[in-house]
Amino acid sequence: MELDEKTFKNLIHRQQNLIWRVCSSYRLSAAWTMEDAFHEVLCDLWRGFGTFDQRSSESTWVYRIATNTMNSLVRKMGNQPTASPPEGHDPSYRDDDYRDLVELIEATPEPDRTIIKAHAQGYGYKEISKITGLSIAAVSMRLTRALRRLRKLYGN
Amino acid sequence: MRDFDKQLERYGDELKNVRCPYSDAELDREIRSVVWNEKIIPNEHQSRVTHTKWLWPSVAAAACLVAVLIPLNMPTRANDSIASVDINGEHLYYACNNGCSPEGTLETFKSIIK
Repeated sequence: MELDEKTFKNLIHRQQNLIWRVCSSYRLSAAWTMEDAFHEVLCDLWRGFGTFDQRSSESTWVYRIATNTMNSLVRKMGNQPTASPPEGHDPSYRDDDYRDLVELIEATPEPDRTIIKAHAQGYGYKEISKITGLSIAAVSMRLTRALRRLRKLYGN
Repeated sequence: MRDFDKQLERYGDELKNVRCPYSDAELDREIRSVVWNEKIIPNEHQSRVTHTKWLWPSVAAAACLVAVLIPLNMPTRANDSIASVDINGEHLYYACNNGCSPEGTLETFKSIIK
């Protein structure tokens, strides 16, 4: 148990930026802070820690758990008023073009939203497949369609 | 004309540049709080161990209970039908356990008490 806690602590220290990044890519309701979301993700990572089987990379596993936690949180928040703008995008959020794109991505239904976010950060089909649990072919097809749709809505 | 690809690339770069604001000490505190709070909810591995640990004692306890109840001749099925008759303000009941209808049970009961 002691060893598990130490291993867990080391893992969180290594992946803290990734976890915070996933949390900050979601729009939270006004009742939630980024610290609350971060805490929820840590709880789920600890609960699922025993199931990490090294079949995917550590960062992919953390990304998947964090994404599932955040999707679940956002679903629970439902129509509660949102805190705007999303914390991760403060500096450039004044830019209308950029803000429009963030809004469109935020409004994209799951799992396409997760696929687009991962793609924008440079994750490949194989990694996105492990994050979402979809096949590589499904990821490829969904990403192509989602980007086409976003491009159209964005007016490009 | 707005450049979608450029803005998407910027979106990805912004995300990649996000840094966790916690200091090492703050992060340690957060982790400790999660681990201590969650200790009452064991993780999946421990949970499986716990289930296995309690499975056989539970089965043994259930077997003992059955072994005690059968000799005590506890009723093992509900009555199919119960008829009641009021005789001088006193209720008498008759139960049938052989698939009788309510009417049949009442008729039988009446013939018995005649």
